[in-house]
Amino acid sequence: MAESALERTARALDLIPFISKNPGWSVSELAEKFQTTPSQIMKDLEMLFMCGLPGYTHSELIDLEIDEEYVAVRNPQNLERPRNFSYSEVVALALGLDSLTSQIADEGLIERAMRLRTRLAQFLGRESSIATVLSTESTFTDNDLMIAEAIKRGTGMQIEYRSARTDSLSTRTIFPESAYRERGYLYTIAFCQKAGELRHFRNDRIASAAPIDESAKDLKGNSTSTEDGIWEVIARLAPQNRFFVEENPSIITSVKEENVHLLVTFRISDQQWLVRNLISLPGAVEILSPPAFHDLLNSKIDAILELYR
Amino acid sequence: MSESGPNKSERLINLTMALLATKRFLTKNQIFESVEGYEGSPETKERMFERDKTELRTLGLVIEVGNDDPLFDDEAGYRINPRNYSLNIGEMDSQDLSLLSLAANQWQNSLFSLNAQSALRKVEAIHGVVEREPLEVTFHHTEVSEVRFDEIWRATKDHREITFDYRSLTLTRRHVSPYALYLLRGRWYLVGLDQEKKELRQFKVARIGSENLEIGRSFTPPSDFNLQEFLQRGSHQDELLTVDILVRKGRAQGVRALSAAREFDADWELVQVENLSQSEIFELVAQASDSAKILAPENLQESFCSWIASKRNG
Repeated sequence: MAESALERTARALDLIPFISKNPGWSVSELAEKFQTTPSQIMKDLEMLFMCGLPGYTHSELIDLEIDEEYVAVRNPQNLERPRNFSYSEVVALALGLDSLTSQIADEGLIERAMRLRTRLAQFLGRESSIATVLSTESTFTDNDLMIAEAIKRGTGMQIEYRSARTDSLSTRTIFPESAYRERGYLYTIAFCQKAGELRHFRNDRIASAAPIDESAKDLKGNSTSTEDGIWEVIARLAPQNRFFVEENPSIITSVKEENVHLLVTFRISDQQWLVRNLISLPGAVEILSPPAFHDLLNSKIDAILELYR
Repeated sequence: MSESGPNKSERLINLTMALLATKRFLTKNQIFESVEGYEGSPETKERMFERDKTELRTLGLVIEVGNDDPLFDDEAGYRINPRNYSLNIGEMDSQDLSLLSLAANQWQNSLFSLNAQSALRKVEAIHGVVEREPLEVTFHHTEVSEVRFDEIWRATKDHREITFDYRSLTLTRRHVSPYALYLLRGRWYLVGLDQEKKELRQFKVARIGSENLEIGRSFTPPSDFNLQEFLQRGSHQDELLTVDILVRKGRAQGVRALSAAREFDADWELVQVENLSQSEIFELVAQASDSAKILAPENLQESFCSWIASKRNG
């Protein structure tokens, strides 16, 4: 899409104060910072060279030093200070800070982030309530903090894990590498000694944890990865089950809207996991293929009903 | 005819600088005489100036209108107060800047990402760009990018009604005055007045159809709407139950995660779970397949059995 004169004006007005404060950047570094192309930055700078205060003599024009490897402002005239935030800018930055705060475990840092947030709030003014980030869990358990420590030190830990895949409690030695929050849950990506590969663990399913002093590199290498068969299951889901499709994109290869029903193709290695999840969905699920999975689902339902006879 | 290209940008920058430099209000004629770029007949210049003024205001610049001598009913003049023009954010150290830089990198959706980055550049134009300090932010957050987020955000910000296809239990056309947006667990939700139902409703932005989104006329948002209060009131008031669930030894980990298990008999243990809605209990127990069984209350057992039986495929 072609850029409008206004977008260009906005960027040009922001370039002068930025370069004044940060002289010596190359054209391509500025392009990256301003999310545009080097040739566009060059055109902006050439245009700014022609701009200035009424009179437009040498002493009233903006003066720049332009070299591909070195850009500086010799005279910014009255554009030395950056423009005020726009409403969307301050919302994006303030909500970004809210979202960030829910990911920090260090109390001093949280306090600092909240002070910054208060400063940004003064730019929001009366419309402060049209957007917000709801943080669900901003407190961390002892296990979460232990994992954070293990990531930092590069050490391992022994955990008891409630596997959703096999519905069993297993003891594993893991070496956490990183962590993330998704839809309110914290996850740890760790090298699992048992699996011999990187696995994702949901932190709230870790029943107990204890640090060990070994580091990850001593133990990796004896990979025992198992490759189960891959199954393709096609099912028609009632509209109440839409959330399941939204929340599991990684196991879904296609979704077709059939009026309000969803025709979904799952690709999975673990039939038991999928069957348990499909049974537990609030709305109806009709298995279209393969017949073996259809039979598996019915036999699971029969086994559950048998408990109550 | 719409103008584009460097000439127009150049004129807008010159106009901004002139209005920013003046202490006295500049009349249109003074502007046409002194600011470079205004050419053509008086009507052409007039039209150019009106458009330029509107455009600078959409950039957020506050152009004051007035005249210097209130005793004379002179022609109105224009100026930009430098105090309104420039950003004043106060002192910041490198740790503050690192936090803001991380905050600006939170977004997957392009609109917030662009806006946050441009806000950050403005801060860096005052305090300089710092090497980001390695802060201990361990638990990275994932926001899901929604296709129509940008338009919905703009409509909410500008108080414009929207009409869209919404996929819920049925596919319906909704006509909504958007009041606010919130992000929960990586998903955006829209809160607004449903014009047909005349009620406040929430919509998951991901379920708004990617086609046929229409932006309508503007509306005045009610002064008594408060997003925080609305969210605190809560949207579902399902009855919360206490339930006894039998779990097979070593199995039903999802149930066990909620509460401690007690010995029951040779094969089973007992877990008592509190404060769950019926649908949450059904989901929890069905997830465990034949490794969990509702023991009490009895009526819940019955409704669970008929619910699970209805899931049998013919």
